[in-house]
Amino acid sequence: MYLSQLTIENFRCFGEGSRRFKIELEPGLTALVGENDSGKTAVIDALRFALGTSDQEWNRLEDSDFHADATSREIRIVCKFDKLSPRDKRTFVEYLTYDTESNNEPLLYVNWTAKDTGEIRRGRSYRRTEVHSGEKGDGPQFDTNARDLLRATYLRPLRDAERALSSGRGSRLAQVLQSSKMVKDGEEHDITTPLDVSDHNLSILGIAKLIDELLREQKAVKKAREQVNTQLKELALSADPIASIIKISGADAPDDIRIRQMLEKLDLALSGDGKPGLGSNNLLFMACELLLLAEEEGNQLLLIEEPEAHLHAQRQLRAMKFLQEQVRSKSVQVIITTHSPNLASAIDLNNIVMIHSKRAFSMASGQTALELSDYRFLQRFLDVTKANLFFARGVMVVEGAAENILLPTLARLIGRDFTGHGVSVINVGGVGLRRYARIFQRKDVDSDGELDIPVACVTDMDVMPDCAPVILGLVSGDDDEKWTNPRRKWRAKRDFDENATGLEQHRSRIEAKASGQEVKTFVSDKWTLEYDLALGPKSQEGAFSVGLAEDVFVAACLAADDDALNAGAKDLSEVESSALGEFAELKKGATAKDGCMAEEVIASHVYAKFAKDRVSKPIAAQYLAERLQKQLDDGKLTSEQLRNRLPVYLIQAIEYVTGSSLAEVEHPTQGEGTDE
Amino acid sequence: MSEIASFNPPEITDEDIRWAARLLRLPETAFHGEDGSDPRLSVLKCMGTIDVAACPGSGKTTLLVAKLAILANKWKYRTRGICVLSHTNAARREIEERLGCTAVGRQLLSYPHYIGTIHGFVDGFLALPWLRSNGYCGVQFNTDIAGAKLWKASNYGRSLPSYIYRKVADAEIRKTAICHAHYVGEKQDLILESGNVRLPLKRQSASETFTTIDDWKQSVLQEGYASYEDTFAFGHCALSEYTELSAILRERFPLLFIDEAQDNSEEQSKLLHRVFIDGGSSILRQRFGDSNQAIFNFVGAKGASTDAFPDPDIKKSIPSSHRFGSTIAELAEPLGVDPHKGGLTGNGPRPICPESHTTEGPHTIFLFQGDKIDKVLPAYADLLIETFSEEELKHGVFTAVGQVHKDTGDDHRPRHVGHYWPEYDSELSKANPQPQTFVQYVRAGREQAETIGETYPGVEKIAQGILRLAGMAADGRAIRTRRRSHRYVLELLEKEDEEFKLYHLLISQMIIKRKTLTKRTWNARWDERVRKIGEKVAGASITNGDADAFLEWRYRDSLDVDGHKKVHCDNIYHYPQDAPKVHIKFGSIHSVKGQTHTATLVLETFWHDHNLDSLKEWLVGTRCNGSNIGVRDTCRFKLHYVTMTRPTHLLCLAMKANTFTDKEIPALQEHGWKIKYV
Repeated sequence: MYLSQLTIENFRCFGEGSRRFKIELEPGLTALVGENDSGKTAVIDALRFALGTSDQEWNRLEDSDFHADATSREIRIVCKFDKLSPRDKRTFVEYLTYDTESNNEPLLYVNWTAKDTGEIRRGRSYRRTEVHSGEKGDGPQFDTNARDLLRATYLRPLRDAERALSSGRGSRLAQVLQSSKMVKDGEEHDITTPLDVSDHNLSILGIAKLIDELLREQKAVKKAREQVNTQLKELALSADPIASIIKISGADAPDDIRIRQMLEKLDLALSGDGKPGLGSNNLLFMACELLLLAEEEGNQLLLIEEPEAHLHAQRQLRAMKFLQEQVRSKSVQVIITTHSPNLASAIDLNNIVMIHSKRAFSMASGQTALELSDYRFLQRFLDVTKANLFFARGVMVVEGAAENILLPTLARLIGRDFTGHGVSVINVGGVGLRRYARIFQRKDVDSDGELDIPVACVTDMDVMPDCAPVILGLVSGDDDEKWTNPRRKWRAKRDFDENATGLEQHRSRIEAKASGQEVKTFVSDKWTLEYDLALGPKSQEGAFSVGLAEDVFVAACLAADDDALNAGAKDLSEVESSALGEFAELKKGATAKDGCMAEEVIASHVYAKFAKDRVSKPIAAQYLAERLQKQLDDGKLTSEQLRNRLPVYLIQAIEYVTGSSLAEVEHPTQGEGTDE
Repeated sequence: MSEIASFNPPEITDEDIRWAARLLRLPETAFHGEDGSDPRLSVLKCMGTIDVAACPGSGKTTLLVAKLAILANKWKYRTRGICVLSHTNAARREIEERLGCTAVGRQLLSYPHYIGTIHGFVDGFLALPWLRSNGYCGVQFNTDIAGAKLWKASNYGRSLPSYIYRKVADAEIRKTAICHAHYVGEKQDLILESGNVRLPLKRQSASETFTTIDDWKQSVLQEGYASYEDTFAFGHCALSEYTELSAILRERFPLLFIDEAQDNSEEQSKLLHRVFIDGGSSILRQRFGDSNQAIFNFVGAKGASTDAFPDPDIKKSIPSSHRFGSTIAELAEPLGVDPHKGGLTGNGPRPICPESHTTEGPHTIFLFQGDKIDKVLPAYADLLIETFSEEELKHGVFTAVGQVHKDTGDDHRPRHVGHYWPEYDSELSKANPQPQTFVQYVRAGREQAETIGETYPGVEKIAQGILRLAGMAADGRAIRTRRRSHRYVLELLEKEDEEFKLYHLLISQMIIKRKTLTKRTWNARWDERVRKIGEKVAGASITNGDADAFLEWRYRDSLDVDGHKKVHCDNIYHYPQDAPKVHIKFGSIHSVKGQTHTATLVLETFWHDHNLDSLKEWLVGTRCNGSNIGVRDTCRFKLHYVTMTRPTHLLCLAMKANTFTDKEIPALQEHGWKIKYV
């Protein structure tokens, strides 16, 4: 069986009624992703309360676990399990609910409620907790033994893997070994026919070494080590083999306890030179847990908070791949939380659930506006840097590297720092801009609500002024037959209606491709980013500012000489001053023509650097960013002035994704509790 | 039927059996016998499907408990369990008492095992899951409330279909029949029932009568109430709709024990057969019982025809009783309808107390003249004082029972137990008395509290009384059945309420301080206070005839803990009255089922005929066992077989002097009876 639905009411950051938390889960792996304080840990903790955990750790309910604004002092957590195996059915037969809508398939509901009665007993608030079965919690209470079978396995964040693996009471290794059936096999030592050890004259140390040896070579212990090693092999990188060794540290009790005491003397450690790092121990720990889980009879649910802990990027990917394989082969269910774009990028989009604003948004097919082909596309292209989008408070999806470099700088310079606002910029590299946007659009908004992360798609209008084709040398003049070439790839203003409605229609068409819910497309005012930057916004009098034309031009010139500059063959200030001179000439010579204003001609010439001279846009973007930064630093330019020079669509896009002002961001609202 | 996962029952060894004997503080050979030939041994070891026919006093329940303890101790499964079903919670109680403090006892009483009543099993595993899944929320099985709501739905009888008027003329019977309407069988037919009136309504007929009452039942069900008797029909629904369910249950419970199997009704037997046996892949089943002792909750009910107990092909017999000696065995044996091969044997009795040497007898028939009926008890008491030592009288259990114990009229004297002792209160003698008035709740509560020496059952009883009263409110909140009634009442009352304090006062006065409750104090104070508490719990006013009757004082005497008047509280006859030497517990045959007494007096009563009179030839020993006897006599046989096998030392009968002719008396004496004229 697997946990298919979870509802949480009145618990920590989750409210009641319509503000309760509800999440649908797929079998296998589920990754809960989202920014900090979105409620990921609260979800895991809710499951720990409702199902209990196999480490038998008892969690005390704190006052702060009750939702602050709730009218009733009752926490209600409902877990629904689906697809019960024959064993699950017999195990929970008295607790089942039959789904009359799906051919009477049995379902298992676990309703955990905690009520704050307001009573104080022995100086502590008394809270009554009950665990009932039934869809509405009207079934019988779970027997303690039945509840034991529901326990999930839980791996806490930043777990002390080393301690858990070392010897001593409650050692996980002892538990792993004890659950192995082979531990109880083998002959017992017959005291009546003692081993003849009188001649050996063993010292205490000698006896200890003998015991060590016997224990180490015991079949079950050896077998357990082999099993752990097999798991480890899967986990480790091929070039980086790790293996475990079991070391021994340190009777009238019943056999089980005696075995446990013996087993608790064992330390599991990694072989090799020196002390293994936290990361390796973390892997070893996960391997142990999976081993335990596979032998379990009850609920095969594994909760891992931040599996990335202490693992370097490559191992994270490997660990994720391993988990996904385990899930496929062993029918276990794994729920992880992660802050790592690295991990997120390695997980099938279908298995990702974004937690945002105390709500869950499954990325599974059918839940988002994504088409099946989008899933295949994103599976290929959703890499580590793009996976950032799962952790953002605002997302700016851009076409290319130039935007990727320039927009964060522009935003910062006008007081809308992306980092501070938690905005991720996703560079799609020219393909599938809208597919990324659709990740944030829900198929069924009525039931899910909107995923209120502002997503701005920034794209180009791609309509050049009528003067540009000649400047770029695309045509020789108005009468050039290339104007009528049906295979012409470029568009100029005159291709659209005189009265400008055609242009507006063109703009609407582009916007419509990725719009709706919290997704908005921002189309450049005229042509491309660089052109529009050079042209600047139109003033009320109808003139363009061309405030940044000079800077863009200089940046383009610098980019053209980038290699020489890097090699030291040319001097930056020389290139700059020659570019400035060139730009002054250009500006002087520019006059209105072909129905275009002089500013448009200037901007077209600036853009010709890229379109005609093939200057690299990203490199130019970098020079431009540096240049503008320096001007601000030197006090030659103010935020306000820069803002007035930027094209309107960029300002709008930046303001849209950064929505709230910085002051609010730095004091986040009540969030989930931090880990205890 | 899908494939059932395989199950290998644990093997039971001699060592296990000795372990169980030690655990139960019995001699090590308790189950082996002196020479190891005891049939109990083979019953314990057998792990096949068998029917165990065990005679009275054979230690059947102990045997079952021992077997369960061994099995639980060797149980390896975490998600499969043993299912132990019975009609009462006797087996469960026995395990609680004898193994409650051991690890194995606690294991047996919890998941994954089930030990309880058949009704509880059908409720928990079939009926309630079905109701839950079909959107009936929190349904409780309470015939009283469901009946009252049905009656209301019928517009207090005014909207009844004419068919029912034609079939049931009597207005009172009609009302009871409607209130007891319940579903039955796989087809969800309806049955209207009142005493001997049974009016079946077939679903298939789709008659107006059926549809009307079906609609009412459904609306009551929507409100959350069903009749206790509906359970089995809902169980069938679950099995029909969830086709896997019986396979799932067989996987969960690969091993089934049924105690008191002789008492299974056809309805129970049919359903259990459908769950565990029908269609192949059946589970391993062992039934324990004694068909000679098959008696039902109401006279005239029939046993099961499906899968009847015992199945002669797999029957194992335990004909030897530890309870009584050979003479009681001889006297009782002719009444056995299904005789044991080789005859009933008596290996008892055990001494009553450490310094006891009294052996069996003298088994006496008291023959009385009609006007001397009140002298029967003193004569029996005198015989007891004569026969047993003072110490034995203190330790022994002495009883007087009759088949009919309710006041059913005054003709055909002696008609019922009350004719021998007018102060007898039949309500208190029921196995699980359902009190009729609040005062009876207080009485029953006090009695139970006193028996076990803890206040808990007393407090619970009073709380149940309050909840019952609250349930009578016309527009009150729905009162649910909860395991802890007292807690429930406390939850429904607010701490600041006056009623909260009143309730605590009630508990403290009645149960903790055990204050005298007289008619005067009841009418002066408690009557209104209890009503107030009930109204607060219900959240509505309670002003109807039912509630008035419930709060009425119906007793001649006060409830008092003072020893002299206690007489009337618990149906115990003390003799002699001023300085009692012997205490005789009165009751019905049903109420003493499964008990062991030191001496039993069987009272002549009347049901269609005088009961002992009808059994005359068997008492004389001229006829043996029941071939060619009618249904009524079969019932009579079994009931009296039960009573006559209760005593360890002394069996007495009380019969009318004119029952026997002078010629028959020597034959009686010859057969082993002493005769005493009253």
